[in-house]
Order: sequence, then structure tokens, then C-alpha cells
Amino acid sequence: MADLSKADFPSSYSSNLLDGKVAVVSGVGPGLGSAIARGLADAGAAVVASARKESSWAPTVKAIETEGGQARGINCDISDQQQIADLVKFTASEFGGIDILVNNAFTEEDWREPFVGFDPERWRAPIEVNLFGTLTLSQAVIPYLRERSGGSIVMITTLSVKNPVPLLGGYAASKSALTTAAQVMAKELGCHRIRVNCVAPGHIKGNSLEEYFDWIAKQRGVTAESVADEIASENPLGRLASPEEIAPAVVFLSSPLARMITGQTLNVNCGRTLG
Amino acid sequence: MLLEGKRCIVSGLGPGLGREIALLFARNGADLAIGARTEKYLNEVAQEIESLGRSVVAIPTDITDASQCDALAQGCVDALGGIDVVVHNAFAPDVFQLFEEVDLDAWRRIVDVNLFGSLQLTKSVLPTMTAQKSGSVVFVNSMIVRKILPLQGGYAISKAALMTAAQVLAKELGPHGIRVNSIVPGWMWGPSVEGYFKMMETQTGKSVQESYDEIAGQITLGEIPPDEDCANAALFLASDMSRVITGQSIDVNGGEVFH
Repeated sequence: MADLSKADFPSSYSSNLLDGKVAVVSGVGPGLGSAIARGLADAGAAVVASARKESSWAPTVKAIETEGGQARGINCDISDQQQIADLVKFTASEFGGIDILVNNAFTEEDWREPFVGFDPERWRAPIEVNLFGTLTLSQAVIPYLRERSGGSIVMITTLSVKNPVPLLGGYAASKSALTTAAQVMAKELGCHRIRVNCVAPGHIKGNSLEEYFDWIAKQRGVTAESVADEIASENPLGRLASPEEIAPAVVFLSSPLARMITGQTLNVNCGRTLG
Repeated sequence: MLLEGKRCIVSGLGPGLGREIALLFARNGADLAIGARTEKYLNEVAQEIESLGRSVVAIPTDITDASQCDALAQGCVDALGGIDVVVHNAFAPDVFQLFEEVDLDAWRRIVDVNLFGSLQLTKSVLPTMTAQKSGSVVFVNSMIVRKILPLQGGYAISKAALMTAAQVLAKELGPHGIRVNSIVPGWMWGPSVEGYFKMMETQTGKSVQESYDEIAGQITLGEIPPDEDCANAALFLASDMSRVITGQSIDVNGGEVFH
């Protein structure tokens, strides 16, 4: 497992970018969610990290506290309305309010299962979790953001919105819908000074990606390393991003530096897509 | 201090965004090489940068002149030792004529400045950035490419071409470790727009506040983004916070248009 105490964040932020702010991050495991939570804490925010299991979020909470930051954790399955209500109440009671929400939790259909023909049932889980779960959590947080006279919601979407991958259509469709939802929310909530934006990562270095490359490699009868090299070489920057390199985009959008930015998508993918 | 020790060129220093960018960069630890045609602005901003405790070299520059672009780049290297960031703020505004009436030479001139001038200066910094195997190029684009308005055809096509140029450069220069991105401001509240509203007031009687409210009314966040907010996006793209971001554009328009 990654050594979370040595966060390799590119340069130090103004450590006061998010001073006094309270952030909630969903889907905090060993990867991007952890890097986002640690990045927000590094910038001065008090962070509540959530995931379906304590074993997922606990190492991140510990790492933040070790670095001298403020963090708490609580279980939350975003497809469960009661757990969402509990997460939000917990955050407000621990830290006094909410300024920032990062919707990182997601699910995807099992890409290891090829199928013949289109089965709409495969898409129900990603849409229910990634779209409706995220919207439910966002709805729950909004009254708290309004109490603080504004705030920021960041949706973690995906490269797949532009470049869908076969066998992951449900995931891609759910994130596309979430992108439009973010724009609707931006439009409606702008008058309350609540900004809503998306960060769309591409391939992210880590265990899940290695599994994916292994699977492709077996399908093709090549090494996982050659698959990784090929994919990296297709990016103008010639490599893939680590979670710690993607997190700063989330910190930026959550901060006063992005005070006038809403309804936008930032593609953080080493230039794999251009625009 | 997001730009600690970074050596940054900013072109097109005037009373507005260029100045905001230069000062914001200086406050974040950067040293500056600034270029513009009008020495008065250059000298004023240079003094402000120095009073912030940063180094600055000010070089009168017309970006349509290749040798002047080279001189600005070389001036940065001579004074500061290298070039980490270039922000292309210099631009030519439109002549505000309908296509059917305009002399296309007027549009050629706008394209010459906005597209080729920016590319010329990029070419000038390229050898240094390539040798360093690192650099961040930031183009200042415009919401005009997202939302077409009549009477701004020359400006729109110049900025549309510039947007594609940014993407081409991102693709080609990525292997050299050079990132290329764009900020896309919409309406910006600052001396230029305020001056424009004041002029409208004398011509039409419409008060500055009325003009402001009319524009702010079409902006989701209900406020015309101040220059500083657009500068902040340039800061992000110049810094290591965006080190895996290239070929992208950040729209700073208060939510007037979504991208």
C-alpha cells in the first residue's frame, strides 16, 4: 500500500489557500480520493473523508493527522440516503459547517465480463451510484453551503466522457450525465455563490490501473509493462499522472483562486485529450 | 508561493490583465520579464514588481516583430537565467465592423498580432524551454470563441485559430516537457471595461452601473469577474499545480458559458 505519509504533491501550495474551510470527500480509498483529501488538508482545510468501509478511509485520516492537519472519517455508501444524511450531519457537528464537497465515490460495471449484445441492466448500477448517489449527496450538502454564503462542489468525472472505453459504457454514460448535471447545478446555484465544476482525470497510476493493464496484457498476449508504455506514449507528456498530481486541480477549483469559475470541466490527463 | 523562483515572461502589459498577472506572479515568488509596446506601462509595472521584492526586466516589445520577440526572450535569459513561463497577454482588439463592410486587411492585422505574434514569441522562448526540458506556455484566449457576437469577426477568428494553435503546440511540445494551455476570460471587470462603460455613458447616457448590471445579469454568479480572477487561472496554469495539464482551456467567465 502506498506510504501516505510522504505525499508527493508538486510544489507547496500557499498552505493557506483553504484555511478555515471544511471539506467533505466521498470515495476515499488508497487512490485519488486519498490524494484529494490530503491535498485539501495540505491547503488548510479540515477534511471529512468517507467511503463504504473504515479500512478505506482510516489510513488517509491518520496520514492527515500525522502531517498536522484536521481530519475525521465516517462510513458512507452514497447509494444510501440515510448514510448520506449521517455524513453531512457528522461533518457539521465535527467542524461546524461545510464549504467544499468533492464527489469522488463511484462504481463501474465489471469490465472483466464481456457480453454479447447490449444489456441495459449493466448500466443501472453505475447510473444509480455515480449519477443519483452523487446528486443525493450534493443535495444534502447544499443547505450547509448556503449557510456559509456559498461554496464549491467538484465532481470527479473521467476521460471516458470524451473517450468511452468498450465494456464501460454505463460508467461513461453516468459520468456524462453527471457533467450535464453539474452544469445545471452551476446555473441554478450560482445565485447562492455555490460553484460546481468537474475534474476529469485520465488513467491514474495505482493498483486499479495495474489490474486493468494486466487484464489487457493477458487478452493481447503481451506484457503489462508494454501496455502501460503504449498508453503513456499516446499522451503528449509521455506519461501517466499520479493521484497526487491530479489532486491540485481539485484544490484549485475548490479555492478562492477559482472564485469566478463555475460550470466548467478541467481535463487532467497529461494532454491525452485536447480542448 | 506557487511560483517560487520561476522566471516568467508576460507580454502585453497595460492597465489591465497583463499587469494583474505580472503582479500576482511576483507576489507568488516569480521574477519577471515584461514586454509591451508602451514604455509608460512597462515602467510603472516594473516599479511595482520591484517594490514587491522581485527581479524584473522591462523590454519594449511589439510581438509582430520577430527580432523584438527574440530580444524579450533573450532579455529574460540574460537577466534571470532561464524561462519557465510565458503568458501571452498582448493582443489586438477588433475594429468592430460587420464582415460585409470590413476591409479584410483589418482582419489580417488582428490575426497577425493575436495569432502570429503569440506564436512568434513562443518560438522565441522555445530553444530555452526545450533545453530546460520544461516550461509552461499560457495563451490568453477569449469567450468570443464560445459565444459569437456580431462585429467581432476578426477578433473571433484570431482567437479561434490561437486556441487550435495551443492544442497543436501542446501535442508537439509535450515530449519536450513543455505544457501549453489557455485561459478563456469573458467579460473582465477592470480599467478597460470600466473605461468602455464610461465612454458609453457620455455617448448614450447609460450609466456605468446600468451597463454593469446588464452584463452581470447574464452571468451565473451575478458579478463581472475582476481581472484578478482571470489572473488566478493563469497562475494555476503557470505553476506545478497543473503539471499534468496540457492542451486545455480554463474558462473564467462567472458561469456565463460552460465548457
